[in-house]
This record gives sequence, structure tokens and C-alpha cells, in this order.
Amino acid sequence: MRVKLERSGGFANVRRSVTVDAAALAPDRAVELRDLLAAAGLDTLPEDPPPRPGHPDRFVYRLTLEDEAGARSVSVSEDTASEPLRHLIDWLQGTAES
Amino acid sequence: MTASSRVRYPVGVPHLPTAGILPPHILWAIVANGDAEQRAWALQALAVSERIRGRRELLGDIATAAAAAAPGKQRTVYDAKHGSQLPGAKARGEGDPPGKDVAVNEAYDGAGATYDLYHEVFGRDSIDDRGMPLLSTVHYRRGYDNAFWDGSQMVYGDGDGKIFGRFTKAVDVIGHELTHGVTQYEANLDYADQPGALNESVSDVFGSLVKPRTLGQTAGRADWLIGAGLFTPAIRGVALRSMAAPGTAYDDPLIGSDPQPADMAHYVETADDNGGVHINSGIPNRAFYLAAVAIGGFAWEKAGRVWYVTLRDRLRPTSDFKAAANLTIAVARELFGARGAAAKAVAAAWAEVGVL
Repeated sequence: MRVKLERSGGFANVRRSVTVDAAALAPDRAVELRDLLAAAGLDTLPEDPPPRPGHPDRFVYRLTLEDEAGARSVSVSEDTASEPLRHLIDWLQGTAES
Repeated sequence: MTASSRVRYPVGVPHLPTAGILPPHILWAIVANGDAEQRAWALQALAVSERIRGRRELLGDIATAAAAAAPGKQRTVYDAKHGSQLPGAKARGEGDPPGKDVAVNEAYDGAGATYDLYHEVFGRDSIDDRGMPLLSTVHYRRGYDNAFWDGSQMVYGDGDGKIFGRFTKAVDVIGHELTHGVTQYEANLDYADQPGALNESVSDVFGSLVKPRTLGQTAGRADWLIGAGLFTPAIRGVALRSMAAPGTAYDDPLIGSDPQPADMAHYVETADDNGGVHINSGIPNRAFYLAAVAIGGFAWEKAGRVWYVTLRDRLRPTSDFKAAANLTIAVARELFGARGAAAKAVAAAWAEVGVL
């Protein structure tokens, strides 16, 4: 399973992207990722976020999950991301930097 | 109380006692600095004065004079201490001397320079034109590569140190975020597609006027850059956006190149970034630059005034580029003459970027 995180928007609109392949992770990290994904509730998110009047310059995140079932893509604005989803985003970004 | 609900007027407040005579800027200061009970009381009083204002508008000039008399520059800078709770701990209030924290001082000074632009040039008393306090939070989260307006205050990150330094470093970023507040109270442009790109563009336009005004630079001498100095030296780029030459601000192996188009022929259709609001804003940005340089002199005096009156009185939430073009031309004619050089320059600018 692969998870791709793409960030757009923000004042700077400098695009950042990270792809994490669960198969390439240490076993404990792969478990972490699975737990974070399970908690994040991605299947409740739309493919494109509805416009958010009054919340300019926030990051927009697109998460794409690829596995045997195919590829699914959802998008969320930074200010509406739930706490568990926020943890997943931070974890993916942290994995990219380490 | 969440950040976004903090300074909204409560709706459906039942019959309230007399609000008293405290002017809105003092009520806003209580909202910012008071305890929970004082804050609730001040918000109720503001809700009442909002209703009174609705009636006062019928009375005309008396209300205008009363509103204009309210001294408005009320800045408070908070420190989020790398957390995400807003507004954070108070770090500097209006009139306090500078402290040791550079970001706090920049947020304070930048909010002041932007307030002064709106007040001294356009006669506007703060974000809501009624002395709304200017609240800013610095050190938001860790390594946060962004600045934003959350519906009631400005928020700045420190940058990750690899791509970006702190976002208060460029005063046009502060002018940009504060202008999102002005837009929210005026045209209230949608935040997607062309209206969203216009929303972004007016923030860049008024943000771009702050620095040259403090430096006394004419349109011909200003750099027309947004976010100059925000990149670390490791990044190949001069700024985040160039209003004079959209698409040329940076070109770097790590972050790619500036995606802004300079004209309608290169308009970018995308689902990301709310329909490319930070991308296609390059087109109306360049229209403003072309108009300001063609008119000459200080950009805020004519081009800036045309854009300000258009934002305040003419644009609507769903206005697109063509509407903005026609409205700015109409306003330029009204303000500076139907056959005046300003109206001609504005029309030529929109034609040059392919909107008309």
C-alpha cells in the first residue's frame, strides 16, 4: 500500500508532495501508519473540498491511497482536518523529512 | 471558544439591556483582552451596536462622523509558542515598546503600516472600517510554512528553515493577510476559481502598496514582489510572486518554478489550491501593476484608490475577472474623469492581460 500526500494552497502555494510505501517501512512504522489511516476516516472525505469562505490561505491536502483495491483520492482543507487526520498528515510529513 | 467564533457577532441575541457608550474599538479590546465574562459582555454590546448602526445608516452623516471619530489603531500580537491554540499568549499591545522577539515586532509594525495605508490613504478605520482591533499571532505551530487570516485574526508561521524563514519578514505578507479581513467585510469574494483568484489578487495588490509607501517609492521604482526575502538563501528565487512578471519569481530544483500566468491565454485550470486561487491571481495582479505604472506617481494615489473603491463598493462574492475589469474602469472614470488617463490606463491594462 502506498500513501501520497500532496499539499497545495497556503499563502505561498509552494507545492509539496510525499509518498510513503508501507512495504518499505520498518514493521513498527507500518503498524503506526495503518493505525493512523484507520483513525483518520478518509472515506468520509470528498474528492474535492467544498469552498471555504472566510478561510483564505489555508493549506489544501490531497491524500491518495493505492492498494490492491485501486487508487482513491480525497482532499481536505487544513482548517477542517480532524485531529486524527492532522496526526496522519504530520506523520507523513515527518516521515518525508527523516 | 474557538478562534473563528471569537469575534463573530452572536446571532439571535434576545433583547439586550442598553449597551452603554463604549465605542467599538474599546469593546473589541475587551474581546481581545478580557476574561470570559467580560468578553461575552463586550460581544453582546457589539451585537447591539451593530443593530444600532443599521439604524444609524438611515441618519446619514451624523453616524459617519461618529464612526470617523473613533481612533482605531489597536494592535495586539500574541505568541502561540509553537502550538496551534489561537490567539496564544499576549506578547505586545498597542503602545507597548518593542520587545526582543523579532517576529512579534514585525507583526506589530506591519499591522501598523497596513492600518496606516488604509486609514491615511483610503480613510478606512481598520478591517471593518469601525476600528476593529488588529490581532496577530506569531510562532504558530512548528516549522509552519504559511500565514493566514482565520476569519478574525492574522496568523504567522516561523517557516521550516529549509525553504522558508518567518512569514512576518515581508511586510506585504502582513498587508496581504490583513486585506483578507477587509475583503471579508466588503466584497466577500468567494474563495474558489476566478472570484477566489480576485480575492487573492486584491490581497496582493494592497499588500504590495505597504512597502513602497513606507519607502516613498513611485510605481516605477517599486519592486512589485510579494514575499521578497521569505525564502532561505538555499532556494533560487527572489520572492513568492511577481506582480510585474508573474511566473518569474522563483525556479528551484526543490520547489519547482513559479506557476503564475501573466495573461488569460495561460489561465490554469486545476482542482488544487481551491481552483488555483494563488496561481491565476497573477493575471489581475499584473493588470494592477500595468495600470499603476502607466498612471505613474505613487501607486496608492490613483490605481490603489480605484481598486479600493471597487473592492469596497462594487465587487460581489461571485465577481469574475471580466466583472473586476469593467468595474475598475467604471470607478476610474467616476473618480478621475471619463476621458482621463487613469481610466484609459486601467482599460489598457485589462486588455493587455487578455481579460477584455
